[in-house]
Amino acid sequence: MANKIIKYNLTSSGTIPTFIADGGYYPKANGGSSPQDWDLIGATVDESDETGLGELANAAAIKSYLDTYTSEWTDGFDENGDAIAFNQTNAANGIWAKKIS
Amino acid sequence: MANYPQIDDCSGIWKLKDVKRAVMGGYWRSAAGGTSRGLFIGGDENPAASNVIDFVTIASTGNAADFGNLTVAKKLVANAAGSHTKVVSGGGQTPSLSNVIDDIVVATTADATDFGNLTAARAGIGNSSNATRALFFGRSAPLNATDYVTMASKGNAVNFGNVNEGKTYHVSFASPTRAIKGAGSSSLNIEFVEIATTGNGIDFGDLTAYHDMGGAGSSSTRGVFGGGYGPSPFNANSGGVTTIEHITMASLGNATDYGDLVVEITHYHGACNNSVRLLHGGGADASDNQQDSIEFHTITNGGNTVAFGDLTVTRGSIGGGSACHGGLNNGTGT
Repeated sequence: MANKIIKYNLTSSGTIPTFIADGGYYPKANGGSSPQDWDLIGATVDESDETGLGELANAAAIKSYLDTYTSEWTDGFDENGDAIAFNQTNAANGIWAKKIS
Repeated sequence: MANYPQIDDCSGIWKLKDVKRAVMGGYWRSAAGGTSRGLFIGGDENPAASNVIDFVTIASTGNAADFGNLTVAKKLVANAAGSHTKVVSGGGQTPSLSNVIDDIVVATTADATDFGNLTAARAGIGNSSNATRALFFGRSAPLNATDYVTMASKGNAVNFGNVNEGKTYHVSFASPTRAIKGAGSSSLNIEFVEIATTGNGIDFGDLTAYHDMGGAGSSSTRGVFGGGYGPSPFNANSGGVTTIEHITMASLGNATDYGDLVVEITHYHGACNNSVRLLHGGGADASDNQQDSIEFHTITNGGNTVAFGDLTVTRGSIGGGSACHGGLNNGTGT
């Protein structure tokens, strides 16, 4: 049993690819046209060989990828109403937890 | 012409010609695919955004079951608009703001598909519809901007008129002719737009309580605001708001308090309805702890909420939606 954590696009008809089991995470704008205007991260179905736009082979690779486009992201507010910086490490670990080895 | 049979006004004697007209017009209950499903959409799985869609049968009670997934995982999801067959969910936070509109066919349990994009990326918006048009209120620059789509044909949203108060975290519902939005950014104001136009917002009455990030829904005549928080931002010392209040959508009057959320939820929850029952699910309790519970009350009678069941996954800032809400059932085919 094994799946992959990959980058991918929706299909040209706007559907989630059949090889994605759990996806839609941390979209990155790619300048394309809807419905393929976002690069998404997801876990493939078990035993799939699909790598989409590229495999993210470990948590460090996911973090490195997230670092390229999420530096300005915030994620909610603290008790004082101040924006909380997006935590790329936590996000990468959360995605990597979807990996089946 | 009599506007019957309506889902929320189905007593009395129906003329066969009106039944036929309703069936052929697509607004008779069984013409909607026989579904009275309520959906709970996306949300915050703390800390990650969720791609989960749950469904329940609104007329029953029980735990939610898994539907397909959203195309994009997102939180701060609006309570979605819906036609007789689909739910259309726009915006959200990934955690960056999203412009994606998802298209969910309610009679299936299939994954959502991409519908198109909002004119700008938004989250915490108000979202409501009649059977034809879905409107998306606010939470981008300018805050008073409103978008709409025609649900029968996929594509990008276009600008509607502007509302008077540009707010974040407001809630919205619709009659077959009016889309009404209220609360948000500590406001007690309510306003409406005529869905068939692309006109600007018109002042309605006022709320008695804050409902930022609360639940909302309607029959074809009565609109309900339930829970939320305020003044913004959420403050654990003041907790969430439990008040449930209603307006008569054909009037311009103030809201009237007629019940409370009493099971667990106070704010950040999703809501869906079949124009008879209004369900509140997920979100957070008064201490801001995320919840998986669903509770409900009847739109006509109000009163305190009663336990319904649980979501499949605990999550806050969740959306809700259905293809049998009060914006659909006037019998005029709008």
